[in-house]
Amino acid sequence: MSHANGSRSEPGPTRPLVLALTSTPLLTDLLHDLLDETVVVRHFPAGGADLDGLVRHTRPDALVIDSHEDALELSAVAYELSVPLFQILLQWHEVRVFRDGDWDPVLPIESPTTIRNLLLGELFHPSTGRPDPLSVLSAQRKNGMEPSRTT
Amino acid sequence: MTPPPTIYVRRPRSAKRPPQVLADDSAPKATIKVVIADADPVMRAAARIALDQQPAFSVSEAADADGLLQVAAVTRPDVALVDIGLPPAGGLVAISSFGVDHPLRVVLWDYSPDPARILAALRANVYGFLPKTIAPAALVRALSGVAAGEACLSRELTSDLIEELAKLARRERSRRLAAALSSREREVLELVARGFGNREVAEKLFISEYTVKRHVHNILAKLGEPSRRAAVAAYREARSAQDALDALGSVEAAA
Repeated sequence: MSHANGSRSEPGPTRPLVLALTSTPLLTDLLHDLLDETVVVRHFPAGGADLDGLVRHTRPDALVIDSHEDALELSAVAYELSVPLFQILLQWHEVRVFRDGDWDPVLPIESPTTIRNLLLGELFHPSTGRPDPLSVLSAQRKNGMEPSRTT
Repeated sequence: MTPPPTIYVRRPRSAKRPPQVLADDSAPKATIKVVIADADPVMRAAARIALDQQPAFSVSEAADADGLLQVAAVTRPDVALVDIGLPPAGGLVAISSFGVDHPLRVVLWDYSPDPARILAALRANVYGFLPKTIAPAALVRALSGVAAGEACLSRELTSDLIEELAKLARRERSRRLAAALSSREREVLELVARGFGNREVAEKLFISEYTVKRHVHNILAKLGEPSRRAAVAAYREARSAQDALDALGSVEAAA
């Protein structure tokens, strides 16, 4: 998967990019903590101008949002680019995923690992052709590389 | 003798950033014990991650009011970060169990704090009120400040609170002035507020129109208002202030 930051040209496997467009910076730090070493998480504030353009240029592998307004704005571009869109409904302790043009049923968030499992399950599903996280990590460590971080 | 229950408190991982001085430089850097009381495991984990970045913090968690009381009894935290909606009956009710002389400093947090709730919290001897959209570094600073005896309110909430206090002050002034009116004057003002002219007021109260005009003159003087319209506006503010006081009394009684 290519990224606007040029990691396409780096040797070895790259990590998927998750774009977190949230109004809750604490949530973004949690995502970093949950997904560290397997995924790159980049945060931009929710509700900003031209989020559609931001997504088109950064070409993330997954989007995380926490507002209904951004869900409405981004579902079209997510569908067009085949990017799964995760809406975390913090106040209701629920999460839902938009993929293939439709929203999956809402799921309760039992714990932070619910979010992690959903994201990783989507990002590393065999259909994506992406190597599984463990083999990425072990290949990098074997070659003496630190896990690649995109800028 | 039965040993006390074991509560595991995770020590912070090695700091990813250099430790920050939490109080003045001359004071010994004591550990700040914080309990995060929130039913939402995501926000508990998120707040913990922010605080774990600082070696000075020692963090424990609770998911409801009972859990908060148990943790407070065992770990004796310095600061509690409590969700306004903490089950079963809300954060304000949960902290009312501690009593005003309890050393625990409570900070409430919420997604969309409104000024009325903030005021209610401050009346409950809470040290601060934070939005859940707070940045991690700001959360650390806020709780460090509270541990050092400071209060914490974000800039946005402070402006909202100042506006709410100004509104309350205006209403309170109106309420005090309205209390100086006689019962007849209040009757006259009530009818004027409903849009009746002097003649209609006189008919309804079985008094002369001249007497109504005299009452209106006295009302304007007592309220310090220049016109009927201004007097009606002041009267409505006074009614609103009384309703708000009555409602606040109900909230406090329920707590």
